[in-house]
Amino acid sequence: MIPARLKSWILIWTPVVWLVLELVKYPKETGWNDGWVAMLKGFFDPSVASYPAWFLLGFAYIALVVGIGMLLPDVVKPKAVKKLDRWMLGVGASALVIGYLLERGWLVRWFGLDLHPSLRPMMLLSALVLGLGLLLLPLQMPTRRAGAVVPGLFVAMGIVYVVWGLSAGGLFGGEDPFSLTAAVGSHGWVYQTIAILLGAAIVWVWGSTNPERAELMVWNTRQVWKLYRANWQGMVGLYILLFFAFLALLAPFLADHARLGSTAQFGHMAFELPTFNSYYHLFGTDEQGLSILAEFIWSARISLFVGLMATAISTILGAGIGIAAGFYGGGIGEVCMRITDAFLVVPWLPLAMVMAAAWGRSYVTIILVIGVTSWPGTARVVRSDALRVRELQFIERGRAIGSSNWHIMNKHILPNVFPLIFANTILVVAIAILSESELSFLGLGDPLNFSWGTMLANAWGNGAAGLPAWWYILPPGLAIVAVVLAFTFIGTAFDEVLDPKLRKREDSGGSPGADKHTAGAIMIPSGPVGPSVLSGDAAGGEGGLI
Amino acid sequence: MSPEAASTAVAKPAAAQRIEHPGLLDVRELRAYFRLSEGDVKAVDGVSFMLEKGESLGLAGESGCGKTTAAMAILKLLPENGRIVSGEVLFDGKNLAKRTEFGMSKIRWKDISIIFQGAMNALNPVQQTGKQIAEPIILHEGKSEAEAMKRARELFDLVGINPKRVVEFPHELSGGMRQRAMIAMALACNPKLIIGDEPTTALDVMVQAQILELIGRLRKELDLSFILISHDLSVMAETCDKGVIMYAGQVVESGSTEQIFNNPQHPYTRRLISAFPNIHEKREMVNSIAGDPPNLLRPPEGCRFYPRCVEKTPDCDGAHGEPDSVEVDPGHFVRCVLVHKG
Repeated sequence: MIPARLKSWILIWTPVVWLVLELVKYPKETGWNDGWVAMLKGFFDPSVASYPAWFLLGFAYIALVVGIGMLLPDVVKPKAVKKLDRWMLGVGASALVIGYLLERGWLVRWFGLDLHPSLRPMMLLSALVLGLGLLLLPLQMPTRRAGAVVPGLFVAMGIVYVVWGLSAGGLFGGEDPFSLTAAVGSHGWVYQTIAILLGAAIVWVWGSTNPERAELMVWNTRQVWKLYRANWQGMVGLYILLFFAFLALLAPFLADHARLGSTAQFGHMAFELPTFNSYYHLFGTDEQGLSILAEFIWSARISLFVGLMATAISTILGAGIGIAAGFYGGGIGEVCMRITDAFLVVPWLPLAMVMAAAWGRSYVTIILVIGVTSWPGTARVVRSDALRVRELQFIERGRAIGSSNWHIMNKHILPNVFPLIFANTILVVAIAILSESELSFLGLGDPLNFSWGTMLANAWGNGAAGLPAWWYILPPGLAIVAVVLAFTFIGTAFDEVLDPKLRKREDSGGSPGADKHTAGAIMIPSGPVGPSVLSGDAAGGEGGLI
Repeated sequence: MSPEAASTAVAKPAAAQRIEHPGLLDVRELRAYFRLSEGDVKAVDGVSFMLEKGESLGLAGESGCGKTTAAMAILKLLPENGRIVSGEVLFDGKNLAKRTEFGMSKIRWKDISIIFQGAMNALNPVQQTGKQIAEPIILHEGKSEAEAMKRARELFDLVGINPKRVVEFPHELSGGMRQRAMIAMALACNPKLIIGDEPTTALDVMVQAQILELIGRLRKELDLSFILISHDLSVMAETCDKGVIMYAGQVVESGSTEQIFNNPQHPYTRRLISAFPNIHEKREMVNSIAGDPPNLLRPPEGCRFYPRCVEKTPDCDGAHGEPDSVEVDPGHFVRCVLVHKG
């Protein structure tokens, strides 16, 4: 029996997720001016561009790996093959990266290593190894005993994404069937709707087969939310973030995308002062006579998107390297930490500039650049916590049981350092958004899309500071400050929610040790919170009111 | 136990005449050192003992005398700077001391398991207790998670916890229950030998008695061999067939529990026993042993207990070399100069 609250969550959140994802791929050119019919058509238009095919096929791969992996019986998953698969992934990927670096000629130029002509077979071989490793990846999934419904739904989801990806790639009536980046019309909304409904069904089936776990998850989430809501910083941050998220998602309705292109048809003058007479003049105009309001709204998309994506890369790298360094210690740990130190001491900006210049100007480049340069902080923080966890006795027990290092890191260290990774991730978003603005300000941003950094760069380059055209500089500047502040607030709030020692409270409630463990359990989400946390906090809240 | 088997406890000359039928576990002249920048800490320096199937053995001594190191060296679970320098650990006739890490991972928990000291620390706070018990079953017996969880429930029942509580997290169990869960975990793969590393130290006396009673019952039911590491001689007297008293990395006295408690021959053993209050006799102050245990970086020459010994003779110091271990009664070995003189 599915818990009632989880049921209502699914009913509420499924349409919300659908709407958000639809808004992401909503046609940029369709806005208020085109009328209700055109706007509704924007959601369901079969010819509207969808996500790039490589993205869809990647998603299909993940869903298929999870589904097939859960379906395959234990018999076909011997430990040796699992281990071999991990080695193939690691070796194949690293060989590809090294080969790529050599191919680009950097090492050739810097160190005089002239390996270039012999690289092709090596690249081919490592790509084959990596491909085979990826093919065997389902073997890493634990087999599911509680029925084949959930795995079946995952497989169905994967098939939907495969079909969508192939049609987005142009297989069904498109121009280039083999292009993985072409994003032509593909009845995207149909696939999207099916995929989201399948996702909701997975959660539903999971909840009804594991009612106890589902109940716990719901309960934990509510406890975290309760603690979070009591934190004013967190709430302020959340409101600011929600405001900008709405701005980004609803951009097609808030500002006509055509306003960013040509100036002629709208008849604006350069550097017009802000005025309340016209919507598009609320923030004035820029040096080309473009509406700064429109630029501002469309910039929110790129800035937030780049920030979140770069953070994802940075967190995965930082957490992985941090856990490995903390767990292994000794030689491997030292190597990991020296690499981290190297990235820390290399001046960030020049490195990022070199990389951005070498890889070309686009926001994908910016994401990669920020992702691969901002992980050392995370790695250091995670390592310090992994060092603490490593010394705990259950790690020794794990070793005494005969567990592999991989198992210990995956099942014992990661869950225990996860709250820290989570809180750190939110802080990294702020840094990533700031970094994006910096790079864009220095002229390394995406020339085809506006971001707040690009706006500032344009303002600076066109003498807005001298005029002074304050209406050109203030909106993007304040937006950056507000978003960075919002993420910092949210990060601090989560720090306090997840670490009871930082929580402000008059009476100390239960023992700090017990609180610490429950805090870990909140995040996983698996174990319920001890009563001391709740009663203590409720008491603190009341004291504050009186 | 035959006198020949026990004679392995005697130093070098006896090493030549090996017996053909060692017991379940036969530790011979085990030396495990820790490397520090100042030199090697000789935490375990020539320890020998033997354990038959179904027997229980108590390893006792002061803190830092090497009893835990000796037990962990059996499983090669020493910290990074620790290593086995020499000696043999014969388990079922196989020498574990020579095994690789991979070879050890087949033995660990399958044949020899451990009950750890602090159950709260030895359980992962963010994983269900039952899952942690299922871990070694999945790993060593290749069972599926469902089967392993079923076994975890049976084990919970066996150690006297409600099987429904396998889904609970360690902080939801009481201290005694956690220790019971640790015992259940040690039993997971039906091992032949269990090492209890001070399994009752962190518990109050009532729970301690329950846990010891449980261990005793399980030992009889499942015909387990058991090594108990403890600084509490009363616990050892209660649960063990045999005793090994360690001091400064060496075995000073070993024998059956009756021999050690009724007829202690080594001054250290006598002092250790008299350091515990006896409820049957007149109330008096317990005797502590003056002085500190020696620094094992540079253990004293000659008898290691000599600097603190109240019965020392001129023959005890470094000039006369280390005393050998001597069999005073069948199976009762003492490493003391006084015994040599007779």
